[in-house]
Amino acid sequence: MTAAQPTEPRVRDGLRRAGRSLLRDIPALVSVAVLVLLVLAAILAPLLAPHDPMRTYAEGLTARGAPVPPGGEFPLGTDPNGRDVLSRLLYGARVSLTIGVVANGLATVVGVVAGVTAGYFGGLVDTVISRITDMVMSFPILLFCVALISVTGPSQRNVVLVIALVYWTYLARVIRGMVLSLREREFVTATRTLGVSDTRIMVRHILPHLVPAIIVYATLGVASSILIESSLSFIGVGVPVPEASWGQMVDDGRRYYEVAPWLLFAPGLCLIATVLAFNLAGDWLRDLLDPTAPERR
Amino acid sequence: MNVVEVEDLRVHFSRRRGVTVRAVDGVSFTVAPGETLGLAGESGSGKSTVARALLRITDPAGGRVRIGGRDIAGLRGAALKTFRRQMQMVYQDPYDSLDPRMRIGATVEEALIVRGLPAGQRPARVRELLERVGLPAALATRYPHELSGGQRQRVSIARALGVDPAVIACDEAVSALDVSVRAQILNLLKDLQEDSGLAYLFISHDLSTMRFAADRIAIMYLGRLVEIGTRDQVFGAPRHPYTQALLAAVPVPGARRTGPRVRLAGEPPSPADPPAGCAFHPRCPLAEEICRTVRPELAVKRGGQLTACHLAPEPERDSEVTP
Repeated sequence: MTAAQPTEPRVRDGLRRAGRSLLRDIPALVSVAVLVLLVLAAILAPLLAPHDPMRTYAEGLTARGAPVPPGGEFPLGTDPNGRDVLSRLLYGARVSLTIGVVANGLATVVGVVAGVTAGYFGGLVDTVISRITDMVMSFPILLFCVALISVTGPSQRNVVLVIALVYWTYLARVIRGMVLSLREREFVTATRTLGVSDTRIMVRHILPHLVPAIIVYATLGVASSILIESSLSFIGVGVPVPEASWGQMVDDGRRYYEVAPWLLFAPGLCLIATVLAFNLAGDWLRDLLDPTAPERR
Repeated sequence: MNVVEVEDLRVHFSRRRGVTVRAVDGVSFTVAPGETLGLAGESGSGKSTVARALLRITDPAGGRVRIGGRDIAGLRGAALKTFRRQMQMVYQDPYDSLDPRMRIGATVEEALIVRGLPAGQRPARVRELLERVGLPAALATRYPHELSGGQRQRVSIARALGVDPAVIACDEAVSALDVSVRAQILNLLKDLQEDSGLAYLFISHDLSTMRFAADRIAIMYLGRLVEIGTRDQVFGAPRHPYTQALLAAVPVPGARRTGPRVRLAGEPPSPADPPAGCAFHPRCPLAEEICRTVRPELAVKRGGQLTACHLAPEPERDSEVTP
């Protein structure tokens, strides 16, 4: 849209700039690599997994019925049901990443749209949206999710929807506040007096200023969504049982950590790596998109 | 015909507990094409509010505003958007009036989008506009933080020119700039005026800027005009004691002061609770009994300007021209 250049070279320029800044920023580079690997692992789980993640193997239990430690046929050991931890971890990545990204993506989109609309137009629109967010937020998150899922029935899709339904309110509230102050800024007034439409003002002048906050919230939200799912699984209203999710595996592992610490460490480290990677990659993205940030050389 | 006609403009802000602030309380003036009207006054006198009401950023509570012959009250939707091309504003803060996340070219281009110019013609027009305000076209790809204050004001002016307005309100447009840059921007504004017959509503608290920029000058105090006349009338022989005090406060290099100095005491009163009679009487060195009770209206005084003061000398002859 810039006057001086046609669009295509700008996209290429942007990508080149992104690549260059990534090479200078080691933590961001590692984070992006980790995220790419995780996504690949999740997609290729059926090819990579050495075993069936839901099957109990006779060799998966010791003579006394205890889980097998890592090494040999089960690279990351087995769980108390004799299932292969590595395979479950790979399949679990599908569930956890899907929930983290989709639930949170939905929540972000709805939250931003609602927050910008409420903040920009104010008045009745604002009152209605704000009261809805108040209503949702007045319930404890977990209780609200449990109540909704007991109505809709547990399934991965419902878990995603329920998490999104709760989380959009937090973002909407923050965004609304930011928009309230943004819309009083002189450049917004100037644009409005130019005769620019409300929609264009919101998209071209308000939204870009919200990007840093959105990125921070969205990346933190991925972590909380994954954790919420694990709590739901723990109560028994998460992803239905034989399927693996990281949260569920951590919960399992917690109970056996004295005899089988790998049960806790394997999914726990994956969770930490994912959350950290999302946050660091988010920081990098935020700096990349900020024209006023000093370019690191 | 005048491009701006303001008649008895009122802007009220209601605060809690039913208190109404009459930020602008019955202001009338006109601006002719190619003319610069200066609007001066202390902070809080309502001068910016006048401009904001003219642009419909703030809705007036009463009075009539005609811009380009069209009454702007009650304009909505598409009609309001079309009107907005008639009048534009250059803002005080060069750091906040341009979107920091938008390139200069895109900012100026928005004006052209509003006018419905096809995308193919816009880049050339953006370059043209930038050059018209004395900026290299290469600046189009820069962001505002990469520009100096003066350059940013030029961009603001280019954006305003983009919709081809008849009037531009300059709300303290040069106050935040260095003196040397200020002169450049003022000269640019004058050049543009000569080229295209633009009218300016020039708002400033700085009287030396006014003396340079304005053809006629209106002095505001507490939401009302106290004096309005040509630059020579107002600066040469101010009739209102408030104008006299403002002018006395301007340091003149090398000037030897003659006569007693009029000094302003205290702060201007709150517009939420203006004094009875003449709003200026608590600070006026000349105030008499009538000033405390009867509010003076604008009337032609000696020298020809309109002044709202009971004590200003009456015109000597009837033939003196009303500005």
